[in-house]
Amino acid sequence: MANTEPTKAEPTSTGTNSIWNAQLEQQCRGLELIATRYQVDLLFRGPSVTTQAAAQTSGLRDYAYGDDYRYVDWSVCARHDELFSKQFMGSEDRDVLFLVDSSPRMTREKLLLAKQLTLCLSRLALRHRMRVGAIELRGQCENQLPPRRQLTQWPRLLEFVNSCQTADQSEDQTKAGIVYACDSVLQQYRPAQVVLISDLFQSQGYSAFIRRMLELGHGIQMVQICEPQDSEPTWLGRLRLDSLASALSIFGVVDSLDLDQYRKQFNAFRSGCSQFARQDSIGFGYVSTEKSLSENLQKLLEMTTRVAQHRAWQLQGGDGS
Amino acid sequence: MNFANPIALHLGWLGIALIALYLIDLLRTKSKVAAEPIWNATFARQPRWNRWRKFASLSCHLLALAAIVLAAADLRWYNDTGRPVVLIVDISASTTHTLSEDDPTRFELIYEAAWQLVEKRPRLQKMAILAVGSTARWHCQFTTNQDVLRQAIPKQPTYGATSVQTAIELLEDVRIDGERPRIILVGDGCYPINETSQGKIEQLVLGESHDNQAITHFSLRPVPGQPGRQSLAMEVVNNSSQPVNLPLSVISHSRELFSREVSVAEGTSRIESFDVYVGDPALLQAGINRADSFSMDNETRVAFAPRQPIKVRVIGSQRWTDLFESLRQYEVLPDGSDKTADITAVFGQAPSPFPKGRVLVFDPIGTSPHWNSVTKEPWTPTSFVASHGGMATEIRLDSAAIDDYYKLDFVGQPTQQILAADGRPIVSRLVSQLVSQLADNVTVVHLGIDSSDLTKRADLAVFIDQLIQNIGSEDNLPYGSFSTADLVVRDRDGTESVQIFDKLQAEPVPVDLLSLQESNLRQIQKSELTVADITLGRMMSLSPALLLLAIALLTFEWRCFQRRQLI
Repeated sequence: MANTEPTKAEPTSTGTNSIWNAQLEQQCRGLELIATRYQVDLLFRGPSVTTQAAAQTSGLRDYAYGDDYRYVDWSVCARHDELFSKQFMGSEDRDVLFLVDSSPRMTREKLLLAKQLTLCLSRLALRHRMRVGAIELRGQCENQLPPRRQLTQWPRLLEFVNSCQTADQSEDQTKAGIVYACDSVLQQYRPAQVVLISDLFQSQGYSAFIRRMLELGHGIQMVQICEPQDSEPTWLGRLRLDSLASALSIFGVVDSLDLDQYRKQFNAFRSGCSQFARQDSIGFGYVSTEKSLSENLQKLLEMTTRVAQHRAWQLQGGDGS
Repeated sequence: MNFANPIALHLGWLGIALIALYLIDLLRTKSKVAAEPIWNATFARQPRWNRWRKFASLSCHLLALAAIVLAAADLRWYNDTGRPVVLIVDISASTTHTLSEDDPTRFELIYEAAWQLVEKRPRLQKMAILAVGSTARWHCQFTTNQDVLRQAIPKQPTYGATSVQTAIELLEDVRIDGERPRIILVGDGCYPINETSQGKIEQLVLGESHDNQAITHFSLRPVPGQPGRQSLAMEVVNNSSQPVNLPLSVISHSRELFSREVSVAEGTSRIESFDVYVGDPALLQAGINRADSFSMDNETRVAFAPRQPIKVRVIGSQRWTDLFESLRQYEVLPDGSDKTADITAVFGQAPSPFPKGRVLVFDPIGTSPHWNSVTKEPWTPTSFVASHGGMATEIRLDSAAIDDYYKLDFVGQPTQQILAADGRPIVSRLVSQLVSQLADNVTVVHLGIDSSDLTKRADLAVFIDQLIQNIGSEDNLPYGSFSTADLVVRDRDGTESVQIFDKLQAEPVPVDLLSLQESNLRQIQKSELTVADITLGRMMSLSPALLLLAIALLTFEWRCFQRRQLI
């Protein structure tokens, strides 16, 4: 388990243009206090069955190349004249990778919230002595910060967050682009707990991308960021809706019933995301730019903790209901 | 198609505001969205005609507004199967006057109104035009030809008063396809109409102003026994909103015979009667001449022929023949003459069944066909008063009694017992005077058969009327009574009777001899009818249907566009 004692070196803001300021720092401290009420470590530590040392032995399996000899069950080997490695049930420390979506759909408000969430959660993870890294979902994912545990990572994180900018429409990621880029990038890292912060409005969807990350052994937490105009649009009459992600425009006449229909569609989309996450034991959180950062963080912690507990319970033999 | 309230059409400008509101609503809102897949899915569920929804909604609202505006303007539709119409156009002398030289005369107003009525009538409606001045004359029989009707509208007024009663009598029996035509009188309101006739016609009165006064009746009757003297009766109407003093004058051959200023209250008429001396024959001109720039404000003329002596055929004693011959106004016809006599006097030898001095009055109203063939009413005292001069001369009744008597006649309560100033019944006093005046020859006057009710002054009125008719002229008298009157005259040797067969006719002259105060009681019936009322009255109003259409359109729009059910 990670140590939650405060460290001597406090992270500070790195410049006047930094997103990190006194108010955010204060909110972050509040978050740390709140986080003590939740099993925050579950947010960053995926419970798993592993050959790594843990408190509880869950079973044996055939020895595979690379298994640590210390975990070979020699007594069983002697009885069966074969090599068996012990398996343990428990949590393991994982690197935490923040995937910050900076596609054209992420407006300034949404990207700002994504950055704030990244900073707050990464600070929390650093407090728990975890290795924290970040990747900007943009282009070929060139902007990345490899995971590190030390507090010296904090200035790098601030620099990384400040460097995140909304991409142009020409840089919008297609499904294949994201999968390819992440595949190539994430293969460089050992399995980590990935926190995807995005509005999830990618026209091609994120399902393939997430499944690919799961194949790579990463744990996933999805945080959906929406604006009020995404969830509760108020436009009426004749509309011209320009897509943020492409040069396409939508023309139409909208009345209150159409808005009701839009809300139904939006709720169905969000329910679909939630159901998808539930099927694959993925954490899913929803934050809105119209709420304060504190509210969003608290809601996120509640949700992720609940999902993590549910996942742990599943691994222990629950039926998943 | 016409509008009763065309000013309401200005409400149509609201349509511009409505369109402006729609245009504002239709201004394209431009926005950038991240969730375009969801918007695409939303728009994909809209029906195909959704893009035209606003325009369809606007069309519905505009149609509803148009329907409401037309309903407010009271759109009306001609009913081409309207009742036939007789248009009576007043061309009397009273229509020639105008307030100033720049204003149109009343006749021009009447002409314009008649033109409008012809123009706005339903095209299939039959119309006839009757011009009414001193006489009533057809200008156009019933037709649907618009050009004929236009040409038939009288172009010029004439001299003389409005003979409305003559016109009504002329139209009494007119039927078109078994249907009684609608009678519309277009005039200046200065004409006499009795109450019975008022229900038969619709009056379109024009030119009501402070100078709307006219002589509506002018008649004269020779005074018996006084050659050259004429009893004149003039009715003056003040059809305005204020009382006036009218200078009346009678002119014959450019010589003023008589002038008098007459006060007439607003909305009333007054009768003036007086005797003048004129030569035989003569053309009399009566007029109202106020002190203004007009030479004569209103005038009417009447001509009379040389007076013919009354023809009397005397059957019986020669001394009765001598008696009539001694009276200069009678021409005594010998028995067996082929000439038609005005009076046939039969002198019998039978004793009088009545005691001496007793006066009985026959009631011809109940027992003889003494009816006005037009109005179907009994004669009223107003039908003979123009002959006052002749009657007074004949029996020398004092004028005060006559005035009192005729006052009662005018009030129109013929069976009421009226007392004179001395408390005696007026009728009894009149009869007493009659007997005393004729005392030399007459002891009993017996009229009719069996009635002895002296309280019915109407009975006496009819008797006097009959006497007058026997004495008067038979010219232009269209009605006859053929009642019989008996005079029982005392003879030196006993009692003989004179039987007078009345075969002459009574003239229904609606003239009264009234005092100023009584005259002003006679109110002129007001008419608020307008050209629009007449033309629009026969048209079907589409307002209810238009309002229903507007409600239906608004309901349709609300259900289709405001409460659109998404599939």
